[in-house]
Amino acid sequence: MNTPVEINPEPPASANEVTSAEVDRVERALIDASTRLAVLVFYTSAIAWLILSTLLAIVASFKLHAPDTLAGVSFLTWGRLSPAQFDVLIYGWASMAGMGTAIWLMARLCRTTLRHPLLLISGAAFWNLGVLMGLIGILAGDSTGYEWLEFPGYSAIALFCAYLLIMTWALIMFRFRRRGHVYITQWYLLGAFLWFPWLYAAAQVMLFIFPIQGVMQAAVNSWFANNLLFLWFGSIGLGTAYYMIPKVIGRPVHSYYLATLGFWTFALFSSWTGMQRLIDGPFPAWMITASIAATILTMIPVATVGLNHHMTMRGYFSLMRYSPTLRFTVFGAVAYSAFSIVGVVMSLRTVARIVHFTEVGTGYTYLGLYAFFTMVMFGSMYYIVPRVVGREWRYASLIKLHFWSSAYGIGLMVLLLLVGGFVQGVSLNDPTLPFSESTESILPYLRGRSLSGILLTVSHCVFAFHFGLMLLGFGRTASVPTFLNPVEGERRGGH
Amino acid sequence: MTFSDFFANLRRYDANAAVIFDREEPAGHATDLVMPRRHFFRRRAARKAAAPRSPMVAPNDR
Amino acid sequence: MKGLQPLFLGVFGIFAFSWLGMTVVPNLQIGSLNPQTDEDGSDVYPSPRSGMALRGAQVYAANGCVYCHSQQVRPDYGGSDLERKWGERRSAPRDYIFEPIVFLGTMRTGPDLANIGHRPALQEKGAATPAPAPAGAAPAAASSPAVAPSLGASPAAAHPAPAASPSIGTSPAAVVAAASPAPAPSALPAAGDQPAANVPTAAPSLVANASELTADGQPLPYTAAWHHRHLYNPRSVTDDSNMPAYHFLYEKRRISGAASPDAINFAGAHEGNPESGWEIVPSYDAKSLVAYLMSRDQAHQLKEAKSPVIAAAPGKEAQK
Repeated sequence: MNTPVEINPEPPASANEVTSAEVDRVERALIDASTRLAVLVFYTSAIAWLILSTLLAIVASFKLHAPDTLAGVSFLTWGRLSPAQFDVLIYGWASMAGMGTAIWLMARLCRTTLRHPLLLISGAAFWNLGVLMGLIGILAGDSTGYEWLEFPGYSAIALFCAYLLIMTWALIMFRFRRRGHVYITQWYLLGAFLWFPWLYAAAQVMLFIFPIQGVMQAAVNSWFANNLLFLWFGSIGLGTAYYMIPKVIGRPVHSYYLATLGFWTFALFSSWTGMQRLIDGPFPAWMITASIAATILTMIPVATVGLNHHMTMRGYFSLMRYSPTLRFTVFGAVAYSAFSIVGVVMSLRTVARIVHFTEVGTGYTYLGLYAFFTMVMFGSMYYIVPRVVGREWRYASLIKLHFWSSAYGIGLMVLLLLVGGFVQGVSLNDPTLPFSESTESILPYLRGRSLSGILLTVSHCVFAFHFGLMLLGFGRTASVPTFLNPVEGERRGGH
Repeated sequence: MTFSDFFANLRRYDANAAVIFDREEPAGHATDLVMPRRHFFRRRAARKAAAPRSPMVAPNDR
Repeated sequence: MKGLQPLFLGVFGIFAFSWLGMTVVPNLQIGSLNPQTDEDGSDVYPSPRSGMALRGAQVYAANGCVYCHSQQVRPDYGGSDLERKWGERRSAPRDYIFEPIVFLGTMRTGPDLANIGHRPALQEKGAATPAPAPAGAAPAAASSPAVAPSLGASPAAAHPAPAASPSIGTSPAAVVAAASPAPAPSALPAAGDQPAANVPTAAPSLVANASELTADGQPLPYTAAWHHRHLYNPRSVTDDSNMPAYHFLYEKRRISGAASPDAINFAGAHEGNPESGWEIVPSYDAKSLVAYLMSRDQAHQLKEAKSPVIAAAPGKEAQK
């Protein structure tokens, strides 16, 4: 095994250093232990919603190419299943996983034990209630009709109140943090925690409470969706990666200055995207042009992040063989670059003319939401859960199964949707072809997408089972983390 | 901003990057990559070896 | 917290910049548009939605129609929408000012619906728009001027019926005539009235008028009867459609006496027909949805977005 020379698994030998190192270890263990209940509540809820969303999604996916499956039942019609599945994914799984990871990271980075856990627990309870009410509302026919905001008003209120509790907690923690530099991860987390309520409230006010007139609704809707993807999920994902990658391999970020530059350019440019999804729509041209320009400019922060992670990991890529966290996180970071590049290409007018209104948009969304954010979240869970539960993951084989079925599942799905969407767009764009040509052209790709959905379902069930084992105390008791590729000699008698 | 200021900034910033490490998990010490020892059928031995590494871990080791 | 002021200021300021620039300022620009009128205040376009069309918008939202259908016509440099006859001109902000929910849409698993209430198939038969009939009107009420899009019978046919050719080059006058007179909410439409509203407030008639049927008795595309059959079972209209079947918006019941005028016309259908003695009737939600669909009409000319053929420089002058 080629372990780089600098990695020193043994703690330093001198007596003095051992003592202070012990102090650090105990302190860190105390902090981790204090986050245990809150983090596990959020993670358990998130994973439960993930399973539910995956099951809804698989049914919805089949209905697109076999529309008479379970047809005619109002709460299973595709037009309700699809938004239900997606909203549960973003508000149930993604947001709660993100908040769970953020809670643990905040505690670690503030270097103080978790205060006021009740704020978080009640926040989680209300949030779960909101998602549940929203899900039932959509299936019952109360969807608002706005993408990513389909949860009816009664659900939105619950979500917002829940969030206020969680944000209060975050601000208190930050207020009482230990003196010292605020690490880049916390910039991203603070940004995310402060941007989300404003974003969500603005959308709710401008679309539902004091609805604005006409096409601006669609503009606000698109602005909300894009900003949610970048400034809420993207921020949490990037911040997490900036902690996990250096922490796992034991090397500081290659260029911290570049990372801070990346943060500001990320915030500035990403927040102006949104209208590039409405190219040539009934809007003033300047709005759309501004978004296209902003999308292209987001390549600057993407490049800084990519460069930074690459340089940090240079010489250590082989460690991905061993660390689940590193594997998932690096996959996510690479997907983030791919996601940004696809976004830029899609917003070029000549390309948009073909791919607008096709499944390419869906593929792009899942590239960001799953291939980037969800994979980074999986990575963070593999790091955090043992540290709050006090046991190690039990089966390396299940971790590997989880990784490969997720990686192949989302890779296949995104590829199929991007290529299929392009084919669909070419048919759409040819007025000599009847419209049904475009529908027919995408059908084989949609069938393939259902297959990739099966892969993802397997992946999530495996992970949920493994997490359940940890939750119930069946993790491995060990002094060392669970590893993906044990040394040959050790494999005898194990998995 | 002069070059020396710029480089001073870079160095200061690099110091900030080390914030996530401490004396027990210093830079250069991988935290998720220690050589594995498969304890599947040797849990007792492992538990003894793993015993009070930290006061917080011990109560969970049943 | 001193050193963190830049962080909080930056976080706040950047987002404020985005929120103001992307939502507030454009809203000031296009968020309070008024409908377009002639100098004498007539010929108002668009007009407020009312009645069943509003209810239909809610049904559209609740059932997720927006996830497969868009409602915006792109200019000719943006796509082939105009060549596909999905509209006579590109959509403009003013078209949507009275929509309670704007369903611009981001997917075209199914065709664009911005002008589904004014589609070529209807025009070919001389029906400018399907003028609505009050629900339950007797089938033979063709004498009622506002009933049914029969040739020339509509009061709006003070203008000549639009030429049969549904090309982009239809004259503005004919297109203006496409604004159908909406009947008052009460049962009978006011003959000869020219209320500004160009949307039906009562359910479009399912009644098969001769002009609304194809040769073998099937409903003509995009008439109300066609919509109901399509919604109930898309595959009875288009074999390879992957649109969901909205059975739950309809009710199957025994025919008692004469067939209901609302019953779905299954002529020529290969599947989905009810057994003899039974009929499928739409629920109120279904009728509202179809009313909403029939109100999708952006044919009226707008000064800021002329049809390419009419504009001096085709393709170049299409503005927002």
